[in-house]
Amino acid sequence: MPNDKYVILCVDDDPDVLFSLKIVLESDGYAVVTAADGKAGVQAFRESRPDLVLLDLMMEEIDAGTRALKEMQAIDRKVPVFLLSSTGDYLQGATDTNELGLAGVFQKPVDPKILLGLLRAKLKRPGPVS
Amino acid sequence: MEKEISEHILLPLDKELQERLHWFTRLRWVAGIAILIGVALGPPLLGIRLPFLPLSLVALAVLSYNLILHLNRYRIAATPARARQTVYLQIGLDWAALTFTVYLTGGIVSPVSLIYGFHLIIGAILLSRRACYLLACWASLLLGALALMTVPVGYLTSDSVLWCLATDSSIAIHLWLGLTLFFLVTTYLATSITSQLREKEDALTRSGQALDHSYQEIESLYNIGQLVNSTLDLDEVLRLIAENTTRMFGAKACFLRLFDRSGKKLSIGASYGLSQAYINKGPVETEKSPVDSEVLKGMTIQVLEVSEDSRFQYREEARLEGLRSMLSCPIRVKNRTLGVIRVYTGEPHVFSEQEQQLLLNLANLGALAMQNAHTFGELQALDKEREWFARTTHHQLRSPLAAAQGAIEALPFAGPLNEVQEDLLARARRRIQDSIDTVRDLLDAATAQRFQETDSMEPVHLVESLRRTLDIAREQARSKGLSFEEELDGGDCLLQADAGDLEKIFSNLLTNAVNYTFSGKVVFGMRLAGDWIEAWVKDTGIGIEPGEQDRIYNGFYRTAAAKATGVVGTGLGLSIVARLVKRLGGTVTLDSEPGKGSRFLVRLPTANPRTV
Repeated sequence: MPNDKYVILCVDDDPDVLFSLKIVLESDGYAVVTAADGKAGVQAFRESRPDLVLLDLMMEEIDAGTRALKEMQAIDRKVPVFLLSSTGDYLQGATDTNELGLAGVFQKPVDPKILLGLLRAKLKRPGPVS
Repeated sequence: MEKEISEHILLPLDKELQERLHWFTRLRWVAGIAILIGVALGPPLLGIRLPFLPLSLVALAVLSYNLILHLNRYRIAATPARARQTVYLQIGLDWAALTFTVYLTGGIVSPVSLIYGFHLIIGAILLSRRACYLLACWASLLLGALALMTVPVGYLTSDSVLWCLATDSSIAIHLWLGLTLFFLVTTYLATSITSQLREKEDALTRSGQALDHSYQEIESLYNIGQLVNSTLDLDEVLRLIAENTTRMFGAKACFLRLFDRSGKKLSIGASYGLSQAYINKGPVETEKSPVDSEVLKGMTIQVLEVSEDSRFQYREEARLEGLRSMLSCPIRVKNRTLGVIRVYTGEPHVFSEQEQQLLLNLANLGALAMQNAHTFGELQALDKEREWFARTTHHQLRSPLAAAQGAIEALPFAGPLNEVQEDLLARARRRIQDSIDTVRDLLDAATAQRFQETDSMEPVHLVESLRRTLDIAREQARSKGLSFEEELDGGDCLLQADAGDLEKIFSNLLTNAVNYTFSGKVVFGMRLAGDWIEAWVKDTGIGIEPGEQDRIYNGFYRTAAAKATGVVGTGLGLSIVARLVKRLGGTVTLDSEPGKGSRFLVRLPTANPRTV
């Protein structure tokens, strides 16, 4: 935890989504690391050891999301991972979040208030979200 | 078979022959025993004297050769040739026995001579007309010979009537003439009657066979119809038609071809009984094939020897394949020609009227099935295209919209905004939400239009599958200060439906109810009514004008009142509801009063009519 901020890793192939997330998360005091595809995501996970991950399911390659997830879990199972999903996306393979070992799913576009609230709860940070 | 019958002396078919031989054997027992009885009782009862020993010997001879026949009856009947020889033998022995008996009982004056007539009648059953008349003459000759012979005096007492008659030659001649006449008349009658009977029997057998044949044909056609309509896979249908046609005709092969999309060339098809080499021989161009050209004009064509007929295109290949004769007819349905069908035989064959009609029937049978399969195939392709299009478009539209919305939502978090910036932000947010909702509804509307029943139709419990939808509606109602009620009589119902479709129907109805109600309540209810499930969404909202109630199900239609509320809506919700309800086999009706509220009633058929 550098500078004693929580680190959140965001992996999404849409740069605008990443940027928006960064703005929102930084405003609540998080340090944000971003990655634009599955491989970079795993790499970043290994290097930055985040406290939480937001992972897009449908990236350029099919299965990229689930593969990245499995690799991250292999490195450190304890880090909570939230899935970012668009409505109507088909979860290739496992359809149960429990099966994938996910902490939760966010439907895009994510409501910032809900996002921040849930993250605080997950990371057990005290205090309300402004 | 027919040739054999008319040329042979023995006429009946061999199975009948066997039965008749059995019958004669049985009669012969009677004859033998009758002679013995006659010999035993005749003298005491009639006062005549009969040569006991010779007659008994004859009787015993008859009985014993009958016994031999009886014991060997199966061996005799084993081959037709043997059976026939036995018949001749039997006739010969019977006649010999009869002649002896006549002789021993007084010759020309013996009443036993009338038995010749009986034998002639039997002969009429077994033998040809000519043979019967010959036998009649032979009987006459025998009697004549007997008449000329002097009857051994010692066998008749001089004071018996018979003896007097026997010694008077003029009476003998009269008797002889009378008997001869009797034999000839008997033969004539017997042969006439039996030949008439035989003709009728033949006619009956023939029509029986024809009936059987027709019945089999009808049954086969029915079975083929069932088989062919059991699948919507075009290739499978064609294959089944080819195979069953070949079998029904007892032919070597069948080949059918259909017009391709352009409608000009005969291309796709199926075959049965043809080698791959023959199928690959080369394209058959309709214009270049004289047979096809004529068939496509509507005629049924047959070719006796395909390897020699100039109308046939690939003569050499046909010869190598072993194809001899061919029958071809068009495959038509409702004045449209879909293609052609051909049947090939391995031996030269002339196809009868009946067979030509049969091929036409088979072609027609297949035509409808083909059309169904073809249409179904096209619909399937259309569905797939539509689905792909919808999914791709959805994704392509949604991503940028979601990204844009993300950025807009993030704006306040990047720093404080002034009033104008807040205002602009709110407008942008609202319009983007509009777009997102429209895309979502369009996708729903597009998928609601699909023709095919997906495999996602399964028995589902209504209330159970709407749990989440109801929870969301309850939340939405509460956040607007409305109360949310459920009118469920405690039970749940089972129906055959796609759970996703059910959710879409009721989430649309509930969202409308919540959106257009500003005070009061929103109600969801359900009950079982006979074979139907009735589910309703009631509200105390703005209501719908009677004049607009028909149009609300149209796509993109929003009532004036709805627009006036300022609520954001696409106008697609109810058209989605209507389509999905229809697809589930149900109905949706509206009861509404402007200013008071509305009630949408959805009726859906149950999976099985009992509350779970």
